[in-house]
Amino acid sequence: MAMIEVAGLSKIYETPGGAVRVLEGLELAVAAGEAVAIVGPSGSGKTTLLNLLGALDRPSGGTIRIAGEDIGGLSAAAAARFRNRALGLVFQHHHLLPQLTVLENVLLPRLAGGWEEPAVATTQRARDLLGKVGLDHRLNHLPWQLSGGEMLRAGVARALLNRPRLLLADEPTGLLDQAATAQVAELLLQLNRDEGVTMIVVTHNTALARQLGRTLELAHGKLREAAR
Amino acid sequence: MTGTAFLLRGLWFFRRSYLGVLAGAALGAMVLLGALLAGDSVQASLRQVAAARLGKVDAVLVGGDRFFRAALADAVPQAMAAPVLLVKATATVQRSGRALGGVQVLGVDRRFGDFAPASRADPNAAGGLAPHEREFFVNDHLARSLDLRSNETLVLRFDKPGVIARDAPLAGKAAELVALRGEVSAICGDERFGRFSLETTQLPAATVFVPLERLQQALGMAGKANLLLLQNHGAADAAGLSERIARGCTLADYGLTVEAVPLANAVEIRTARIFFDRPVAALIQQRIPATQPVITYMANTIAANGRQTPYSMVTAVTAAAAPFLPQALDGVVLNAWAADDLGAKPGDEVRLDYYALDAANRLVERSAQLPVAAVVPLTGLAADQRWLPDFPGVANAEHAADWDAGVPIDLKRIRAKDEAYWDAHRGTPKLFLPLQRGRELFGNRWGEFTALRVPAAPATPLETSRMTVATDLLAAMTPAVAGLVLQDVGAAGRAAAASPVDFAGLLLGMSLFLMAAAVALTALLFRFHIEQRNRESGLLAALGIAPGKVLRWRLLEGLCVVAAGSGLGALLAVGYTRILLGLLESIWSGPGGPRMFRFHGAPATLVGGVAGFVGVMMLVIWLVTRKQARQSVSLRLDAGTEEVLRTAAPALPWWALGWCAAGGVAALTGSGVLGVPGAFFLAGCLLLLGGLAAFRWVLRRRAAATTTGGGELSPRRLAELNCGRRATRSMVVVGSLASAVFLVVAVAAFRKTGGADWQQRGSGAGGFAFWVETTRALTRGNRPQAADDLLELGAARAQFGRVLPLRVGPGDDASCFNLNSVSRPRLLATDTATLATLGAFPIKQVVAGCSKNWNCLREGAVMRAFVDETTLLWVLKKKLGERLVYQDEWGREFPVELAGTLDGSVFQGCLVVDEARFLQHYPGAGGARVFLLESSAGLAAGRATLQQVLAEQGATVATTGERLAAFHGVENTYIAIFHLLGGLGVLVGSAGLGLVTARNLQERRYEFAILHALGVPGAVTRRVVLHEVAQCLCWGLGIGLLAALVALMPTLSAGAIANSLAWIGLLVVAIAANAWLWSWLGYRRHIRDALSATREFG
Repeated sequence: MAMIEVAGLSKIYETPGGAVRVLEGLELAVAAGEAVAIVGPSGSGKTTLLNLLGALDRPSGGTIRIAGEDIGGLSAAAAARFRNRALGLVFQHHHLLPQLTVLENVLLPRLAGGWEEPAVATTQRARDLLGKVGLDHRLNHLPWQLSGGEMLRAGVARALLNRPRLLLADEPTGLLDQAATAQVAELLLQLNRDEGVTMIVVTHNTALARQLGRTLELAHGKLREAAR
Repeated sequence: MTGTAFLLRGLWFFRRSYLGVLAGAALGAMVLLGALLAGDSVQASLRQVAAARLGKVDAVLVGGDRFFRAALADAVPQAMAAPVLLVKATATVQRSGRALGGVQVLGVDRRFGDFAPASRADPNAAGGLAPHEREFFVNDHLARSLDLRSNETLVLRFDKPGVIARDAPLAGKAAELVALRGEVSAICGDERFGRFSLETTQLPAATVFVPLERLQQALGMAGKANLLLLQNHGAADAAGLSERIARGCTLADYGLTVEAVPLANAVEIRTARIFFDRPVAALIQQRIPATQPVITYMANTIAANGRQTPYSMVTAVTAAAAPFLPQALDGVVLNAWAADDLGAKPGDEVRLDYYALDAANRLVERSAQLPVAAVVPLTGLAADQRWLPDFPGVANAEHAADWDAGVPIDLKRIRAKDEAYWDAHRGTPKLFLPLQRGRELFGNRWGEFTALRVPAAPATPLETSRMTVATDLLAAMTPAVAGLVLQDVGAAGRAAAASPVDFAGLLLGMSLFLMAAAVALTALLFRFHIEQRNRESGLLAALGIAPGKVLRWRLLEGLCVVAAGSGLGALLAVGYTRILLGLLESIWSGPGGPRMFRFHGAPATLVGGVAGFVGVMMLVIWLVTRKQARQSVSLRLDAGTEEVLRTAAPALPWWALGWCAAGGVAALTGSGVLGVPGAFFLAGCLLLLGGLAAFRWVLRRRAAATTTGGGELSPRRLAELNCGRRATRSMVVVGSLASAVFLVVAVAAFRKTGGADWQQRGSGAGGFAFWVETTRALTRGNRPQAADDLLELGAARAQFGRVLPLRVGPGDDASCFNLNSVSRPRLLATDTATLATLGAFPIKQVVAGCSKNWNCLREGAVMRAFVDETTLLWVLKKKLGERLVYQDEWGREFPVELAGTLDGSVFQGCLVVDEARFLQHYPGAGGARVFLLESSAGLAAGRATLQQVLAEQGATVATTGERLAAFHGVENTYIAIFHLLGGLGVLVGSAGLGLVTARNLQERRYEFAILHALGVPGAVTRRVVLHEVAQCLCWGLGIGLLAALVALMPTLSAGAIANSLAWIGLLVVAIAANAWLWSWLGYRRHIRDALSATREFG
């Protein structure tokens, strides 16, 4: 069963210099449990595509179906609900809130409310996730007390709190050194392997891309299979 | 973690960032609550004063110069009453010689104490409120004014009242001054009713309390009073009370007597006022149709055949009342004595010389030629001495030579035979004429008839008829008809105090800009804060938290901060209110005087004020935050704080020009519809909006120029682009500065000066040097030649040019010194023909169809008045052409049309009306108590002379310049408060400029770092920043200044604006310097960080 079905996707930005067509007639199909790397030159629209897949932005044309649900036409509130229930997002910048501890940052998605799972169980899972990413000794630390790799791992733990069917990661290793990159890459692969999480990773890191099951290259607004 | 915990964590974490929001909210709330609390405090203080002033008095029966029995107080059913004898006097301290005019002297007995304020009255001290025997009580205001202490001797000098106004013909001798000496045994504060006064003002009246009986004796008014205090126990309506008072009245209270006239077989009704008031005569004639009027008057001369008979009484009457007269009398009938004296016979012409008042109220001698119709013997009714009314100084004179009739009498003309006639026949008329002719010749403003005779019923004893007439008369009369006016002072006083000058509104208006600046700054800071947390909001949204929820959290955080700030503001408002009250206090209280305003914080005001402010603040915060919430998640995740300006080529700013044009039109024409302040502020707002729209257009044009590649890149160009990048911030700063400049400059131009040009006829002083108020009403008495020297300056008269007397009518002081709500300003009546001839005083505007000079007041069907523009706009809040309702001498209502305005005149607080018209409604009004004098000597010498000569009159002498300066002082104090608040607003506005500068630098530190890395010198970077600041500053100052000057043009003369130019220039420079300082501070704060970001960048 396809987790992601994208057909005829286009995204146009109106800018002072005129309309900029970033994506045009993009097609994509990703099966459940698949791990896909998206590569491409800067400005090719990788992050835009990720934003659209994550219902962070609205497409200018075409359809996006995630697990059979058309997310292109969702209202802001419905899109938020969708992200909160079905998606995990990992960012290049860690985006941890400075006022919250690491554990609280991981628990942040629960603030959306309406979670059926009891709070105690979620908290325990947050601890487990942080343990899994090697941060069980950093639970009550504030973000500024963490290294770049630790912050990113905390972001990964947060992305997994809602047991997402789909994980979208935007340059997860872009700001990390080699060792930290390896750690994060291993973590993502393990998740895909062990949890069967479908994964789209936008990256410039060819090593990471190679470790993922499939690599797509985005150029001129369209995706094509990249040589591995 | 719950939402609440998340919210609290955010509040704590960003506490420093929120500090500015908290401070802004505290400032705004403090200013708002300060204005409201100051309004509350003034209102509460006035209510307190009103309660102290009136005590338990619900209503008063005012007699003025009409006296009724003090015993009436015991005869009014279902009401507590106290008789009071009220006169105005000059009080002199024997020890120091210090004197004060216009002192209220109250003759009271123990009943007066029963009316002391309920909450403070000491039940045991009620009797002690009335002085005994030779004691005087004074109130603390008088004691303070005269530095008077207990046991000191005080001398009171006042006029002994006449039976009728002293300037009436035959009113008797000129004013008689009485001195009353007593020892001050108590100084009464408010709790002992020392504040008692019927004048609706918060200012205390200097008062002396004298034993009622002693004052009655001194005035020759034994058993009489002219004021009755009433507490209405029964029906609350005034009509009910009036009816109950009428039930307690006797004919004596109405000044009427009913006597038998046996020779006429009639009953005669007489009035103590000699001439029957017209309403009284009309009522009697209506009630008793058989009434036969009689007019007896004094002829200066009866002349015929070359002979003269001096000073004779003549009577006008119908033949029905005097059967010895021929039916259808045409001419006069002489008695035998006069016919003999003149050698006159039927058919001869006699000339009658008599005194009358001319239009200018001067006593003049007039003549009438009348044929002799008959001669009657001096017997029977024709010889009845009862024809003569009780003319004061005449009726009881022993000899003709002793007459003191109130008109000039040349005693040398009185012959021995005249004395003999007086001895034998007293004032028996020597000549009779038809009633109608008598009315034409002798009628005056006080009335026409000197007696009203009612023929006895046939076959009825005369005494029975007398009693029937008396009973009928008593049933018909009412206190109002007799000129005893019932005033509902309790309700009126409380209403006036309950709705005084709206200080809350006034101060709110003054604080509006400061509040707006505080709100705008707070919103700006909040927006900065939200922008700072853009990534957080984006993340929360990315994690699936609904945007509405994120917005609600932000607003809740804002609410917490704003609520805390408002709470802090409420605490600060207590101190701030006290400062405002202190400023206001300086207007009315002299140094060392008691405090007039006490702080009063109504919980409802505090809660309502805080809630209102928080509501407004949250609305503004919502407006600035919701835009952020609408941005796409991805944009916020990218931490975009840039504003996206629409970059389509901007159309010509027609709408901006439209605002400006509308502003100009409003300035030029709006004052007629909206009034001067309304037009000024509307025009100002439209012009400011127009200016800001133009600024917005310029920003857009620059942004468009960027996209089309226009313009060479220079520090200036970069600065222009930067201003447009965050257009809202630039707009807020320019808007704040422009508004501040507009208000401060406009208000500066409204500063009042004046008084120095008093010699100019067109000035507010009308060319007069002195404003003199006397305690006694001055009349010409029996000196027709004294019309030009009513003040009896004697030899000093030459030092002064023209003297313009003004009669003081009813009403309250409506000048800016009175805080109470005044609906009927005091009437000042004068000879408007003289003023028209002089072209005195600046008449600013008149109603349509009225000539723009003083003659306007003598035109039209209703009484017209000129009023000072300040009084019209701020106290009465009326427009020209509207009418006020006054009560005449008998309590009947009549309208006074507001026909014109005077621009900054000495008449502030009064309505100036024509004297002749005034006297139609108040014929009993005594003489003048206000005088305007020209000066041919110096002001200092003139004042010294006046103070010396007029000491006996209890006169206060002020130069017209001082009077104007005092009025301007009040207005300028308001303006000073406005300036203070405006100045704070400027500080806040320019602090905003500093904050924006700092914020821009902080946000653009990487830009500067790049410039630095590219080798662009720091001086160039600084120039970019300073250009940005200068642009905002220039636009702000320019828009504000232009709007102020255009809005002011039609209101102020070019001269007035020119006079204020230096002050305006100084203000603008100060504002610019202040704004520059704040920007520089902001620049200093962040430029180093910005440049050091190079390292970070590297």
